[in-house]
Amino acid sequence: MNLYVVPSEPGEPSRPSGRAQSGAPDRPGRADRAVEAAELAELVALSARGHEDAFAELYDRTSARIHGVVWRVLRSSDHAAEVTQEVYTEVWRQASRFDPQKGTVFAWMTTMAHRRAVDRVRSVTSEVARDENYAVAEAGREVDHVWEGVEQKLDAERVRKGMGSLTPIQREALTLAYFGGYTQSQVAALLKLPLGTVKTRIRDGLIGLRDALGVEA
Amino acid sequence: MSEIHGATGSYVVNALDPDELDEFEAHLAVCPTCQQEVVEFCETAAELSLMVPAPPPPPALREAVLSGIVGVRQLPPLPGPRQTASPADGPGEEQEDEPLPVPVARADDRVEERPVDELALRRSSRRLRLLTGLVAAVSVLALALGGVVYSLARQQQPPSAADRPAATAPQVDPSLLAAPDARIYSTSVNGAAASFVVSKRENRAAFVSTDLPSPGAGYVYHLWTLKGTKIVRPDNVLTGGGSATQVFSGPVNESTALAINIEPAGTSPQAPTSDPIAVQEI
Repeated sequence: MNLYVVPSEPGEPSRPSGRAQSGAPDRPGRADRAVEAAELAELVALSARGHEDAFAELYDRTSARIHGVVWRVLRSSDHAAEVTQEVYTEVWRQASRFDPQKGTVFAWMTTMAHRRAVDRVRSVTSEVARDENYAVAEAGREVDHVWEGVEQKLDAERVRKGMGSLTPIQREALTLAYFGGYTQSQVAALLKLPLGTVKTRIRDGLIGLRDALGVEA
Repeated sequence: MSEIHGATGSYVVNALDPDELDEFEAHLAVCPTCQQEVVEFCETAAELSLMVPAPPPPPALREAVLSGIVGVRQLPPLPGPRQTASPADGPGEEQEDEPLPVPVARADDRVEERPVDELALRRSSRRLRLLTGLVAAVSVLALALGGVVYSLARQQQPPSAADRPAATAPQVDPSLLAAPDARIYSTSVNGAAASFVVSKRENRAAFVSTDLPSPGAGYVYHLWTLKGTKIVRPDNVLTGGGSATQVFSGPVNESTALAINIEPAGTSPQAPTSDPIAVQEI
């Protein structure tokens, strides 16, 4: 388990970083993430050649996160399960199109999942009125799971710290767009800001977060 | 920078309106700068997805997914130079049954860098969807203001000077700091520097912050101890609005992590009802 605990020793001097096997991450977990990215890419490559067992492992290793992003946008277990299944079917169909040169498996799948979740939320919102009370009640029922997996929470904490480096408006615009599933015009209306400002804040927010997290493309 | 470049962020979070989406995708196909930024932002957004805990997928979903792919035809690899670990299995002269538009513009001399394909796989029902989306936006406005914006407002407290060593705040019982195995774990809570001070040997821990923002009227900060991934125990509460400290009642020595979130004041939840705002493995 890779944790963000107090460093037990001062930072080691930097050494040439072989990506996957580097033993000197300049932030915790980078090497682990690189190893994981390579393993997931291999599972996708195997899936592309029809290996269902590799695909099953890919599901096991990614489904919590993929379902998570879908659920967070949709706030409905039923819709989230449906959309998540659609996403995995697309991953299976398009596995041969995944190109590790263009990003990680997580980014590829999360992009797909987020887009489909947003599509779904925009098509069903009128049905369920996206009742926040409903979402809260449901979240209450799921409460046993809410804090499951400390490791994931620590990852979340890392991202939250990155978010903390943004200005309030950047954070708000980015959060409404990403988790709320709103278009930038809707975000502009919600925040009573000009559209151009919202667009800039969303981009600046991603730039800030990218830099704070040290994201490597 | 021309204005169109500025749409990369909105594009990646799927927030472009339909007219601008078409315009931007046409631009993206020919702009290496935007392509690079889109790739990076997709990685960033994938991390963003970690921020908010969500319930795990229902166990039945696994079987549904795995049985669902049986008989689903997989797309052939795209033609063109690829440096992936998976060599093409054959000449790949299959019929293209794929309905997905692929951006065609490419500079042949360069390593091809098509923008993230999935983002380009655009929706046929886009316009209809937008219409319903706008209706929904109105209906959801009040709810969102009560929920989403509220939670955001809590994060908007001005960040405190992060270099202030919260752990030296005088409120912490010196004997805890003096414990031989005492450790100070720095974190931040809604932008404020904060620390968990822990001595497992003495079965004691405290949360301390020099500049803790108010949790909002009618709310308190709630401490929790965690053991493994399953057991979450309620602990003490504290208010914000300046210097704040609170001890854990524990048991600290058998906890694996400490956490803090925000709960309605006057309640005694046995399990957290909102996301943690800081978690510290100990």
